[in-house]
Amino acid sequence: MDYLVAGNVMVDIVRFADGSGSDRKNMGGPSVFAYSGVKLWTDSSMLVCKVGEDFYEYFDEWLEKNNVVREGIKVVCDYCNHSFLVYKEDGTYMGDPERFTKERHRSDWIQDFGYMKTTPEDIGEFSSKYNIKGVYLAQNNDYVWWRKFSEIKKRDGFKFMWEIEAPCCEPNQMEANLNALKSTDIFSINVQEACSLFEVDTEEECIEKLKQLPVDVTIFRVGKKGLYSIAGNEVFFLPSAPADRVVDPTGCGNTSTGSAMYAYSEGHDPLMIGIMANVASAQNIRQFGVIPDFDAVREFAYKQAKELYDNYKK
Amino acid sequence: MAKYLACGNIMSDAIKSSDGTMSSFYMGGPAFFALQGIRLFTKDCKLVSRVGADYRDSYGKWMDLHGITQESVKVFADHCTRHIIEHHADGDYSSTSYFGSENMGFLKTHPDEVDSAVSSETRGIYFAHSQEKVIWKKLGDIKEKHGYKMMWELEPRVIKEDLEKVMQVISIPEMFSLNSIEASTLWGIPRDNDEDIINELMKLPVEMTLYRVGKRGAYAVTPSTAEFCPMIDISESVDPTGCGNTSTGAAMWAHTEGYDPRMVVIIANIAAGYNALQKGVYPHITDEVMADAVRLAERKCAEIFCG
Repeated sequence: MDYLVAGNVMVDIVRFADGSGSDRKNMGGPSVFAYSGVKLWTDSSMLVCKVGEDFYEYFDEWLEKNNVVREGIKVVCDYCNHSFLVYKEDGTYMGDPERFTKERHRSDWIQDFGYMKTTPEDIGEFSSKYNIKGVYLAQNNDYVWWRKFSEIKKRDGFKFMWEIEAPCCEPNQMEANLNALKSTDIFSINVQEACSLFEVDTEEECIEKLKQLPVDVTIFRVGKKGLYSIAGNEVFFLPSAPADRVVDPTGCGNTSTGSAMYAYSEGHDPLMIGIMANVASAQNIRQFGVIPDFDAVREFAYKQAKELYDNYKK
Repeated sequence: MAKYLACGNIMSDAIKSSDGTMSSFYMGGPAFFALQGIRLFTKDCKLVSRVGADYRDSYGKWMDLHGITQESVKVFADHCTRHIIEHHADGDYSSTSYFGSENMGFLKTHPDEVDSAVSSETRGIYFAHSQEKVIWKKLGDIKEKHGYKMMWELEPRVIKEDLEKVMQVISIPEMFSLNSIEASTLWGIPRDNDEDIINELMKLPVEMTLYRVGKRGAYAVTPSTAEFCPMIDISESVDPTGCGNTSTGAAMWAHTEGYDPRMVVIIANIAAGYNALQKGVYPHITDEVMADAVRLAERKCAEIFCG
């Protein structure tokens, strides 16, 4: 086992600004999307997550079809988090408060989110058992969490991708973020989060700030335009990879981030890391929920990544 | 190791008054108040909780002062949960989370942490939790393994539809605790209709239910009897926050020790009385305070039930 993809699982219903959307609940959540970004390239990867008992109702067929390793999936409560995402015209989204209230499974779904959050020990259980190359997690900047995690990381020697959580992107969070970045090899943030964190207005200003972070690579996601792969003073802008259809962007950030973690841990250069992130994202956008069948698209993904890399190199 | 365990969240509470002024933060949370209720009657107890690193200067010192082991207190985050509490005229209250609900959810006690904390010496456990089947199944399996008794205090903010879920898991604990607002919501009976609510509680497959009716006092309800004890004031009441948790912890101890329902409800109300003396928990439960509490329980039993 080479890769661990940890964090929360969600079951999503999506509604777009024009009123269209998915009619059924889809697999989602940062860890599942990020896992798909890794699984696209390799089967040697596992999910590490706490879930509700209804997880298998939504995920079992997909787990079975794709031979997903189940060892790291722990049922800890009755229901997964069910989210109802409403997209705005600008491409950002929010939860539908009416449906959250009407269709909640518990009195406080955010509390459930906390109950199911990954602990450092959850990661350590598997990073100590397997010779893990890389780990992905979307996480906050809590000092205690990172102190424990840094000890596990030192012990087990894997690379780590931190996808920052939105509440940590307030300017007063910088000190705690810098503490977290001490244990981070590759970092992922989107443009809204970076503008808020650094109190700037443009991508260029964000990039100047991101170049100074003490990590090897930063994936700076700029929505449908694509992403920047930043490694020190090297900055590559990589437009989104072409997809044969565009259905639902939910989870593209997580998917590309998981994929970047894989590419980085495999030793690819920053250009290829960004390209593989975009290729995974292009697979995620083709349907509601996660990539349904990895075997069906893996060869194409490798081919597309190579072609894009060769083109960028020219 | 300890005979009695208080499991669950600790939360520091600030009380917002009707004029908008706010108190400092005081130690609290269901498990900590329950621990206080148990500690008033026995030293053989401990807390089982995920906490913030800031617990040491407050909760840690209180436990040190009371000789309570912190072997099952695990630091999981920077901050303990904090809430702003507003008490309402009808006896209900509302609370606002200071660090967010996610922080509280992350610090909730998981069944495997209870499993790590119990031993062959464990006789009784207090646990405030929701009516989640998965969690109760695990708690039931752990209980089977070790053979202690368990008190379930229902979490606040239940809705009518939760009754079905409550009934699915209620046979797992031996003891149950809820207040009149929760009971009224679950069974759709007016909250001042003690008789009809108690009739429902007597049907529950538990040995004893502590039914708390706010300032009026509480009942210890068994399948065959319901004993009422009015609120017991130790001195002037300052803050009711945590009285329900405190009385529930004490009732768990009393029932597990084999006291009859009359003494169980008296002991529960005495513990609540000590809790109401100040904001937060009683600062120092000395041997003298413990002896006073027992003497008061015996006197109240004679007054209320034999007088």
